[in-house]
Amino acid sequence: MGSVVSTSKSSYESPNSIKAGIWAILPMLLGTAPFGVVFGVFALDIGFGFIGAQSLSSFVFAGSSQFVGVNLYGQGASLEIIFWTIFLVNFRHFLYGASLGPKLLGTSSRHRVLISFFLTDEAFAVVSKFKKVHFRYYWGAALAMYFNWQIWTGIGIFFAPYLKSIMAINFGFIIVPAFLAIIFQQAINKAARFCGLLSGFLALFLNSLPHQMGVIIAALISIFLTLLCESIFSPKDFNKRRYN
Amino acid sequence: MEVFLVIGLMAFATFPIRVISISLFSGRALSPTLMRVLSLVPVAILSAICSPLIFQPFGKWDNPLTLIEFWAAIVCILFSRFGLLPSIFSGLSVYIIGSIFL
Repeated sequence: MGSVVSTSKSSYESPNSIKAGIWAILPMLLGTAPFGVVFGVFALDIGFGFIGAQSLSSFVFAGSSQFVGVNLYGQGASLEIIFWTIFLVNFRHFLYGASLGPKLLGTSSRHRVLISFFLTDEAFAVVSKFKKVHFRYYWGAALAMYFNWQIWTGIGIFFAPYLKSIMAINFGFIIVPAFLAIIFQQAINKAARFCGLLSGFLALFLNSLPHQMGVIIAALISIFLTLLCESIFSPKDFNKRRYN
Repeated sequence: MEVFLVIGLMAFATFPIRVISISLFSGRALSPTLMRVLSLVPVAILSAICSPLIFQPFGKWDNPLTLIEFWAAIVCILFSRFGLLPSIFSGLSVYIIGSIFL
């Protein structure tokens, strides 16, 4: 397991295997399990019912967007507000898709439509370290995450009456160690480290913006400033990276 | 019935963003600058997601030294040199144990 998960920093091409994708995302499954349980309890509590709560995870499959949507519905928000809020919360997936699209190997346009439904923060985090991604590897990671999310949502729904008492813990943090580990694996050069630090720093000041827009704005500003700094302070190095 | 309308609406709000971006950028020769931009996306986005959860777990500024989230993140970073799993498990262990006992 270790050999598959701890892929070298200089990884160019992902393994061409479903199993490797599953192994790679395994630590993330652990991190998202509490979210799934909490979502099941939460959706049931708001009034989505057993089938509605499970259907949300099955047909929307968008983690934080699900929480936001259910919360808005519970507060009596209009359908337009729910739609546009979810759209904005999920907008970071545009950047994920843009980053992943050119890397995907051996996929038809129909196949890519299917693939995009299963694109999540976690699946993206696992495949993003590669410059080329085999679709089998992606499917392994993405489907493992999908079924993991369904199972834990189901557990949350069925055990909701017993689980409400443990919901005082701050579950928002549970996924952070997994993301941090990935950041530190990927930030292998000065530019990436600078970009990550700057983005994290800016996000603290933009955290109060609605619809998680702070995440997108912080990321875009930090990427822009990183490239600007590279071109000013180290143009030689910058050009070398651009054209090699 | 309204519940299923909301579910359909939420699916419609999330799915097209993913489809359009993947389809738009797939199989195209992108400029080196755009490739460079896209290569920085994962680190930038993941950092922006993580830092408020570490330093502002309750939505406001706190002294980080008093936050179990901060110490869990430190341990996670220190263990990151040993690989993904040790890093995640050490960070989670510190956080869960700290949350229960502190």
